[in-house]
Parts: sequence; structure tokens; C-alpha cells
Amino acid sequence: MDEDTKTMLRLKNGDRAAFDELYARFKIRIYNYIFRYLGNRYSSEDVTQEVFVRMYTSAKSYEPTARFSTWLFTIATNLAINEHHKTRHAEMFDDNSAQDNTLSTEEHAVFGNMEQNLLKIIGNLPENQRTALLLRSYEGMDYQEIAAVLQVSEKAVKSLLSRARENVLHEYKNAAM
Amino acid sequence: MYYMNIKTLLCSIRVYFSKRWISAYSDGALDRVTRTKVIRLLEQCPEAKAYLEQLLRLDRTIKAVPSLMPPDSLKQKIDSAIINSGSPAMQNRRSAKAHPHAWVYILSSVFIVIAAITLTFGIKRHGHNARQSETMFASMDMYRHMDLYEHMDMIEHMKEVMTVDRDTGNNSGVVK
Repeated sequence: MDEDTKTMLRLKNGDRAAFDELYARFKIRIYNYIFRYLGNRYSSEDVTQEVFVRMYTSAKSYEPTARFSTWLFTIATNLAINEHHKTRHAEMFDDNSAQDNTLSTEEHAVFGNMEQNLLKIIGNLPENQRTALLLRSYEGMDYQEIAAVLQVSEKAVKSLLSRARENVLHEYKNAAM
Repeated sequence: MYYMNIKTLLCSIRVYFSKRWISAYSDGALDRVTRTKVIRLLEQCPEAKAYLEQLLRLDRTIKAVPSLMPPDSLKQKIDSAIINSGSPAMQNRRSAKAHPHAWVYILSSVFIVIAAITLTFGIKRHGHNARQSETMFASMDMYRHMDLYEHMDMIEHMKEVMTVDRDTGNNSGVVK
């Protein structure tokens, strides 16, 4: 049993300090994962908040069947997908909401043009390809863990990752031209 | 020259159909047999090697994207959201907030239930009364139709039958 799972079990038993520990360990990873998924800082804050609130409220029913990070990233992925659907739905009816996806001045300072292009390309990938690529490249998850988050087979993960990389390479070359 | 072109073409075809395996190879996610096949392909086809290098470069580029720091206020927001979610009273309040017209639905439901009960019992009661009335009216009808003249006719008819019976010695069943 990994350290995170043990900490989560402490939270399950009512230890409030365990929540603070888990938040400190995962806040940057979850926030950036959601930001890379949505490409919107404001939505990312809201979704990150919701992820940690869910982590707290679901602690009672938590069972250590998989690694804790897999469990937490499954919550984060589901909430990010919901938010993405909501935003896309809103954009269909309101053209102004699309402007929220632009990076702030602060983010322009952090990301160069190349990174901005890359994030945009990843942001345009189909949902499952994007999730697989982000979990593999940023979180270093193995195929089994990604399969657990996406609830697909490992074979499907292999295929999703291959297509995601192929699409990114293709778009990246086009953007560079 | 011709042989070289064929070889390059075959390599391209093999790489096209092996991209999934090359991608998995870059992740170290292949079994021993498949990994051996991919290694052989990489040795034989420069195109396969070039594709693998592209994938590894892409992975490095993705990983090089800097991370953002979440705002400090986020923890406070989470803490207050947890406090709110922990209190059942707050959950109810949030639920009411999420459905601002909930009271309209509740009132409508109560009204519909009351209306349904009233109608059901009203119809039953009306049915009972109606049955009683029908019996009463049927009896009244019978007596109304058998008026005084009919009674007199019936008595006269019975007298006649009794006279005929006495004269002929027949018994028609009329009580003497």
C-alpha cells in the first residue's frame, strides 16, 4: 500500500490533517492536469476545488482497490470532461464565452509560443486521446492505470496514445510550417 | 536503385502499420516478443527510427511545458466548501439554491395530491348516492305506474277468473 493510500485511509477514519497532506501533495498535479485539459485558468480553479471537495466527501466510501492517485485522477478526469461539455455547450449558444479560453498575461509569461501551440493542439484532441496523453506524459501513469481511469482496456490505451501522438505530431508540423 | 526504392517503400508500409507498436515501445509497454520485433524493425528501417525519435522529442517537449501554481486562495475556498458540504442544513440550503423554484414544484405536487383525493372520494360518494337514488326512483316508478285504476282492473280480472273456474270446475290457481 502506497503512502498516499495510507493517508487517504487516515482521512477516511476522520483525520482532518490527512486531507491537508493530500492537498499539499496533489494540488499542483491536479490543477495543472485540469488546466492542460481545459486550457482555462478560471474553470481549472473551480474544477480543482470540486475535485478536492469530492475527495473529502467521498472519503467514507473510499476503498483502496487501486492506487490513490488513480482514484483521484479518475475524479479529476470525470469532472474535467463534465466541465468541458458544459463549456462547449455554452459556446454553442454564446460566442463570448469562447474568449475565456485565451491565456492570461501571467500565463503568456510562463508559456512560450511553442508551449502555447502545444497546449492548444492537445486541447483539440478527442477527449480519450487527450486524457491518455496527459496522464502518460505528465503523470507518468502506466497503461494499466490509464485504462482504469478511462475504464477501457489496455489495448485501447495503446491505440489511444498512438493516435494522440500521431495527431499532435501532424498538427505540430502544420503549425510550424 | 530500383531495389533500394522497393526496400524504402516496404519500410514505409511496415512503419505505417507498426506506429502503435513503436509508440508503445517508447513507453516501455511491450511484451518481450513484440519488443524484439520492434527492435528488428528499428534496425532495418531508418524511417522507423526517425519516427521513434519524433515521438521521444514530442514527449520531451510536452514534459517541458512549465507547471502553473494554483492560487493561494484555492485552499480557503476548498475549506469553506467542505465546511458547507459537511452541514446537512447547508446541503439543504444549497439544494434549494440549486433549484430556486423548488417550492413551486412542492406546492403543485401537494395541490395535485389533494385534488386527486377529493376527486376519488367525491366520485365514490356520488356513485353510492346515485345507486341509492336509482333504487328509490325505480320503486317510485313501479308504484307510480300501478295507479288506482290498475289495482281495480286487477281485482275485477281475478273475480272473473274465479267465476269461470267455479262454473267450469277448473282450477286456474287463483286462491279462493
